[in-house]
Amino acid sequence: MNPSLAALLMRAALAANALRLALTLSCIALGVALAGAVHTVHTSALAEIDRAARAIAGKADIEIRGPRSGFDDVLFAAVAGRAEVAVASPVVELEAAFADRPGALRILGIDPLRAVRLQPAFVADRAMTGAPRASALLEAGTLWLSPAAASRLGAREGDTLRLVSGSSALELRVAGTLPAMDAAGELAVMDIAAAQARFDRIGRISRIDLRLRAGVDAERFRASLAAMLPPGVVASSAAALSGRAADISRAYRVNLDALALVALATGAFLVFSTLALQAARRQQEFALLRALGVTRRGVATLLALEGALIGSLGAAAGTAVGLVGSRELLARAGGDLGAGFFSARNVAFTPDYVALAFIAALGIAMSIGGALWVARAAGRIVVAEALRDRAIDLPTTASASPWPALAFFAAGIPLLFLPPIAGLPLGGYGAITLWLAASVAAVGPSCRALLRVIDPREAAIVSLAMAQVRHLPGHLAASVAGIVVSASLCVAMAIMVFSFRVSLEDWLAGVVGADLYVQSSSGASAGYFSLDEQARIAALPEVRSVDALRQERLALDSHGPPLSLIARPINARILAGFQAEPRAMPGAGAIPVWISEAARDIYGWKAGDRISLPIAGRATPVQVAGVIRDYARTWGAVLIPVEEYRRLTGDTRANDLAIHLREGVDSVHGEAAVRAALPHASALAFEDAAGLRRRSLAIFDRSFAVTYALEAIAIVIGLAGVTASFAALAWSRRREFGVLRFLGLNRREILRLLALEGAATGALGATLGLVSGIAISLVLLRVVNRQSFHWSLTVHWPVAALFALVAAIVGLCAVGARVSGALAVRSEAVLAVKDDA
Amino acid sequence: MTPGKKFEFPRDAGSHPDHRIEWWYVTGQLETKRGPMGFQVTFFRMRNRDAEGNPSRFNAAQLLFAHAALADPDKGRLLHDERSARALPGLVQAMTGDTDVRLDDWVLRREAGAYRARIDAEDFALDLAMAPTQPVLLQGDRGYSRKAPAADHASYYYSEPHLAVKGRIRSGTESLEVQGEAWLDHEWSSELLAEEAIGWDWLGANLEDGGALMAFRMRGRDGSTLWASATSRKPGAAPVVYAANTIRFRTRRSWQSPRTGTFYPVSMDIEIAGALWRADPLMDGQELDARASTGTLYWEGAVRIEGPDGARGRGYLELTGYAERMKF
Repeated sequence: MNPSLAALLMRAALAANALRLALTLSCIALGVALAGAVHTVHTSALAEIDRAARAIAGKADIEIRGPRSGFDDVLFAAVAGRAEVAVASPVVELEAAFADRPGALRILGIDPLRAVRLQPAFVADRAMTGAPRASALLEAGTLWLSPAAASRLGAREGDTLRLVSGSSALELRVAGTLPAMDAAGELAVMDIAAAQARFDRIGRISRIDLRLRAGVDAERFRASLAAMLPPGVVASSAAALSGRAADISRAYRVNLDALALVALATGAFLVFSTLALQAARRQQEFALLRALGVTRRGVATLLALEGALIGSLGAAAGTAVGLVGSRELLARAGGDLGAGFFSARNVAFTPDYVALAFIAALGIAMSIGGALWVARAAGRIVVAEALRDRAIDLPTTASASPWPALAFFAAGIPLLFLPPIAGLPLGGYGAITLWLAASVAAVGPSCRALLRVIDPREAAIVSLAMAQVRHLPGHLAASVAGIVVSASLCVAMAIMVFSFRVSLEDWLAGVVGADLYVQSSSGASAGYFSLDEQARIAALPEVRSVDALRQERLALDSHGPPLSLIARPINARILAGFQAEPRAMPGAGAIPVWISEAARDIYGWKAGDRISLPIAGRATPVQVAGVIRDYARTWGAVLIPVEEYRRLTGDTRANDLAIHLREGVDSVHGEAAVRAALPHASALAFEDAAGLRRRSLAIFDRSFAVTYALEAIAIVIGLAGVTASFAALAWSRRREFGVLRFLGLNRREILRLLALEGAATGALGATLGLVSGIAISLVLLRVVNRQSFHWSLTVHWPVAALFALVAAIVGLCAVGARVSGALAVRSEAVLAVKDDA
Repeated sequence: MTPGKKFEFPRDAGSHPDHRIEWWYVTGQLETKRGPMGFQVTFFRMRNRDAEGNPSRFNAAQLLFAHAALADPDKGRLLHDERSARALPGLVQAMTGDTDVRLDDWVLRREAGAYRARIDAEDFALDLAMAPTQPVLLQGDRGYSRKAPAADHASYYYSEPHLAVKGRIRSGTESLEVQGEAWLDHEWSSELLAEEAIGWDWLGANLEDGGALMAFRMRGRDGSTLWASATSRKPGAAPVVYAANTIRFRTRRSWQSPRTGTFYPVSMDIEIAGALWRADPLMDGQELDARASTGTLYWEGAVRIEGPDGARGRGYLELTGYAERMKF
């Protein structure tokens, strides 16, 4: 076709359908924007974490780290003295809660004289390491803030910070800020000896950073180092470290990306509906073009070009919106999309342009795909008929064969049994994709099957509506497919989230068994209760008993995240709360531990196994007494009886206390009594059982907020597709409506007919969506969740929510069909019939 | 600190941790197949009272600083490196009993009577054995060296002139056999610099006839001489100590550092009891920025010495407090 003619035709087509094309374009844009924004926020957050890790690691090649409580600092001189080592820098790492305001401060206790050679940013001025000024750098009462910490705290040189150590407060003066630490996030550095003394860490360090001499093989050295490291202390190469944030959050990020892409895919059905509508209006034009000698190919090219144009404009707009939106999101809310993986507040905008280009290309490809689908149908027009008869439907009908749907479904089944690949449930995602395809392929056949059972001798309007739906034209089938996809996504997510939430509630009800919970300092490692303080609280007349909880993190290997060790009193009630399997307390013998499902999956342990845990710097043999559910820690947890832990470590401190109050004492009085018993403990965080449960569920809801938003958008795009289809149908059926008017139906009845058809279409889409959504939810619960997060969840059905969802889809389809029909059949019926004559 | 302390070796060659500051300082001239070079190695110990009492292994009660330099005329500048660290047993320590100072892999210690310096820096390395050929030279009043008119600014100070050097160095990537002659100073004090002093000029020289010459002056803020002292020893004879009022330092030529803009009197006439000694630098560019270790920006260079009656020698000239006041 002549290019200028093609351009002319396209311009005319676009001008005539400006509003609808704008809708399509904006839906493509929305899908692209969503996927782009979600991805950009994540890449930015990861880049920020990576920058911070690099800023903190500096020029280090190797990092040696141990459990959260640290390891014996005698190791430092032994490692630093090795001939392969050029620079070694010891670090004490801790979190100290503020005594007089909420939050905590991450503190690195460093040796500035050594750190300066690995991490120059840790020292304000290189010349300070010289003899005349070194003592100021090593002062015990001061700390230095990163710019991010200084700005959040509003702290300046000379200010005093009050921090919690143990259960009492200490004061540290701000010696200044470290301008070169602006990439490191919020943290403070102070002298290592001062940090050890003031935060009760004498003899312990958390980390040793190493730079090797030129020419030393880092991997070989790491292997030889392993022999001198005590159990629970591991050496990792610095290159491996920066990827850890990416590894830890990968499953979560891929889940969100997948959701965003489903929203984008729903847009493809919409593109098809809109272009089909256009094609319906322009078939006379196509027929004329064909009669004038334009080939079938030429018409297809014209449509594909239109699709590409819409797709490109939508993708461009969507990419721009995604970039602006993610930038705003990062500036206002930081890099966390709710799951708590990325807590950094000041996240620099770091888009991944390759991925954005890929997402945009997907948007364009979907648009072109939709256009070609229409073009194939338009190509089948019988030219002579179309020229004469301007109101026939596009001859695309949904296939009536059930075999494609069954084939897709069957192909998905074996994928359910694949193990995770690189920690990702790729088999589960594959099954979900195939089952979505199956439900789309099932639209045609199930429509016929459904209508076969409906009695056609009802009111005339109903049987007319049913007859229409029975022969579901091609583009309506496509928009029903859009409904099916978005509805099944919503149904699946609703069931998954509901099951998860109810499982969590049940678990919390079992686990949160005490009346009052006290943290020495909220979430910070530097706070604890001494044995004496625990005894003082236990002796209070208001208190029936106190459970001491001690949390430790163990490094089991050099690459994975640490394993949580929770020392607490364990009894039958606690085991029931954690849903331990088997539940019985073991008899005397080996030290019993209970492992979480994540620990079981990650480390391959099972009940009855004798394993070795690096507790207190020794390889300690323990026996797995059972597997527990633990929705709080993704990377594995181990419960150990607190008395065994104390015997092994001599560590009698407690991070948290679970207090059972006496009959008749409420949590307010209990809290007052505990506060009175520990007058110096200013930063205690109290929570009663209800509060703790509420807070845990609030965290859960926040982590699914983005998921809900993505589902809602997928539904909106799906519904937009339905309205577009009805508008197309209404246009192509002007003659039919004219005939119906002559037969005595009034305008309202025609619109009722359309609303009924809409409702029927919606019901069909929603039903299919419900069925496939239920199937997919089981994949999410049993495969995707298990493989991503290692959690077993009991299935719970959100019956009311599902009913409301189906009702909403049916209602919205009815309204949508009626409204778009009303817009399309404004023209007089007489004209429509005359037209036909 | 008082005069008349009885020096005992090797004990006094070791560390004196009760004193606030202490240093071992070696300078020397080397012969290589590429020609003459100069080197210096300084270990500086500082007691940090603020940190005492902290039970941590990392407590910073004793700090060690070290810097080392190689003057390779082919390079036209000093190759220099420095280290700072807190004492940590086995890794960073200044031992009592005999010279044995180490800061990670930098070491100065006595092995079988000879000093051994091992320095491995980025641009250069030194591995030198330095054997005494003469008795220890006690400076000032039997090792008690006053630094100001008031008696409370003083140090204990001895030197080991004419150390016979043998070893191997690396300049850049080039490894060279060397031999030569060095001078070691060991000095400790709790109160060195008077309030009104901004720096000092110091010269230590091995004379060709086996004699040794040391002279220093403390300068006030206005450039005046606050205090001076000199010691000379002819081979086999007892040292002669010269009173402050018999010593004059005069600038013959100044050199401006292109890097810091500081003027240094790199060529000096030193008059000691009427005898004129002239010090001329091996090369001008021997400014040394050790602010990140010993805390000083100064000029410290290999010099040639010419004295009365054709006396000649080689030594090191140290010029401090020209860029900023010395702080100790």
